[in-house]
Amino acid sequence: MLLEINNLTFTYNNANSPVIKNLNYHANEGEIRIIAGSSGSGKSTLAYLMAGIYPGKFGSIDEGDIIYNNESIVGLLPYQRLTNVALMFQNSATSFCMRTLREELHFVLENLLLEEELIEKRIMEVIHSMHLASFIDMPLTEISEGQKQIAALASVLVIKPRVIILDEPFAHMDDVTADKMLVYIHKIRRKEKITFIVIDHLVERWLDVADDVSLLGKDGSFVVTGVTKGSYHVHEKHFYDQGVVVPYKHKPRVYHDRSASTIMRFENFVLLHKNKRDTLLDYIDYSIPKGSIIGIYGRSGVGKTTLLEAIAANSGYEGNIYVDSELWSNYKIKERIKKMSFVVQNTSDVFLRDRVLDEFVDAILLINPGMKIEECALKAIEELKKCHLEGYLRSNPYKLSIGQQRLLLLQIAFCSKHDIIIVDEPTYGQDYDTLTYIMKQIIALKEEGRTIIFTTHNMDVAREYSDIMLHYHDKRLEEVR
Amino acid sequence: MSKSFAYFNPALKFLTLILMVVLPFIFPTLLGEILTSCIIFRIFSILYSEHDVKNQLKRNFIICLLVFGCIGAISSYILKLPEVIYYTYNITYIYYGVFVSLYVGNCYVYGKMVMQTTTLFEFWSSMHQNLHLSKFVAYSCYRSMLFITNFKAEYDLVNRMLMTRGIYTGKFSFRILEVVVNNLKRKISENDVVMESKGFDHHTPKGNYKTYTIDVYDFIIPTGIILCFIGSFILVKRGWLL
Repeated sequence: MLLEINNLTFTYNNANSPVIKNLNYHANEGEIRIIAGSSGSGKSTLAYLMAGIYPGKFGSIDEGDIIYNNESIVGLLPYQRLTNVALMFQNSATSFCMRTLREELHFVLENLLLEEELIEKRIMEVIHSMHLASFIDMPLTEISEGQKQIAALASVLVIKPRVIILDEPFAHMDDVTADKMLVYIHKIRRKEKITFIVIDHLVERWLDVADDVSLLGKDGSFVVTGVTKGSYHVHEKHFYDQGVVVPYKHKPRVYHDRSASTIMRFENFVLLHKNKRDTLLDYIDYSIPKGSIIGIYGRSGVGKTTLLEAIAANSGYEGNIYVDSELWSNYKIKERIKKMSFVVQNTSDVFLRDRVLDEFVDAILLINPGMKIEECALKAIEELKKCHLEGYLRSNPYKLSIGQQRLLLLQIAFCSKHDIIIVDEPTYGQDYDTLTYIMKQIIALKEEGRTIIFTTHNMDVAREYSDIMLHYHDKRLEEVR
Repeated sequence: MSKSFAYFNPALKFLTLILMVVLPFIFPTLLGEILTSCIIFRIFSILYSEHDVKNQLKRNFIICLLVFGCIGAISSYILKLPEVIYYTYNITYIYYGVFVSLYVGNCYVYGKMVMQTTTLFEFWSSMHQNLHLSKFVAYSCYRSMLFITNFKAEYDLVNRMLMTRGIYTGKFSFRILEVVVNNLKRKISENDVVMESKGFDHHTPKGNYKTYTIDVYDFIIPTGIILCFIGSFILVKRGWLL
């Protein structure tokens, strides 16, 4: 057996109860094993434990051990661990050490003490097989989230360890790119006999290639293990119960009433790439009706996030944007931020305070400056209860899982009084229950007369929840009917 | 340029750069000459040999000694010229400009090579492994460099992010400053985890893979520096300037 977890119990520092409880797990050479579970069930914690990053200074293993080839991972040095196991982080934005992907690949391979010639050879291999040439030398801060995820995947695959752990590897990728990557992973598994342990919400995507699917429950132990494609239908109910499977119904599209007044209008709009040389959208003329939900769907890296950032920051474009018939550039900064709120995809810089409660209280005070602190706190707790974050009042926002951080940010935006709310990938990293909650809140905002623009690479979400679905491709925005 | 410079110990590269700039001002004496000779000897040996200087010396000791000794002696004379400018009055003014510009130009080229071929990670690693500084000292140094280099970008990013949430604090605010400091602290510690997950630790001997590419500015800027200094010295000496 390549990997063996025996009766593992792990508790974070300052936590009252263990996140992982009496967990047993194993993996053999060349397998693809999936671990699914709802948001906050401890999937990422388990991934960190298996990669040897935890316990470290973050917590303690109360019981049990993680063994690779009859050797405990806890005692190994980082570069010794790396030959056994490598981890691809969920948050690709903070998973690089170097400026460009090429440097990152060099960095990783140098740590393995490989010869320069072999380093070059491996890099060329990965560039060729993963089609990285278009952004291999670009600064990692300038590429899209989807490309970052491919880059993170490449920097793990290039190591060729015995076990690779992927934490939500396709969260930022569109379906086409995700499928291509999946085929590549399957090929690598067969060729190199590497074991893949994948943390993912979307179980069905993996069923064809997975040797085992396990479902992690909210109590930190497995609800069901050993599920395969053949036995999946028997256990499907467990996956529904844990909010892992998304039962889209594909309702027929209802076309939005265009007689409503226009809140935003694009005139000769050209979206510029961050390098200021290339364009991402060419000469768009489009009107957005007031009180509608606009879903922008498109492949990874087409420029969805850049488009939202350009609108919110009023920069990075040519042409005109009119908001309420007034030129957007004529709005002063203070007026602009009162009119429009933007929920960003990357949550690594958005929180001000070191407690979730304080963060929310600050946000409420911003909307109601005269409100007493005690009232604000009560209101904040009420709002946090709605999104099931009431258990984290005293936690640091950055200690929450990525999905929970985004949920917190969305809940703050839902309480605001902005006319236009822009949300970048609202469903990323969320289980089905949370996804449904978020989208219901968005519909409630619409019913209050507010306009919501959201981007997604998940066509099902765009189809299900938007009044107007725009397909962003080939530098064009096309309405899907 | 040979690859061996890129593989040269990053901490020593930085140290050499600092010494190159500072030493001639500190030691306008024989000691300064000897020290600068050693440094120059080391730099040129790396620049013009395919292998590490130790291997080169082993192969052909006498020729190496002669070549590098000559280069070192000439360069040390050039490097201590800020003092010469002050203390020697019997050479003509045009030489002042030439010597000083060679000193500045040399520092520019070497500084650029150091910055282009070394990353902060390697700098930190090298300080610990090769200079045998304690992990605490090396890491504090690395953190402060990371902090300084990222501060402006972080400040702008946080300001922009807060504006997306409807919080506008103006161009400068202590509130943002506090957030930036906290964020950087957090990011650096996140970086530790990422570095560790990618096998980076102080037990791993590191080499630098980045090579220095010579571009047109490597000729234009030193030439500009030389012309500037010569020009200004002529102007000063003739009384047209100052």
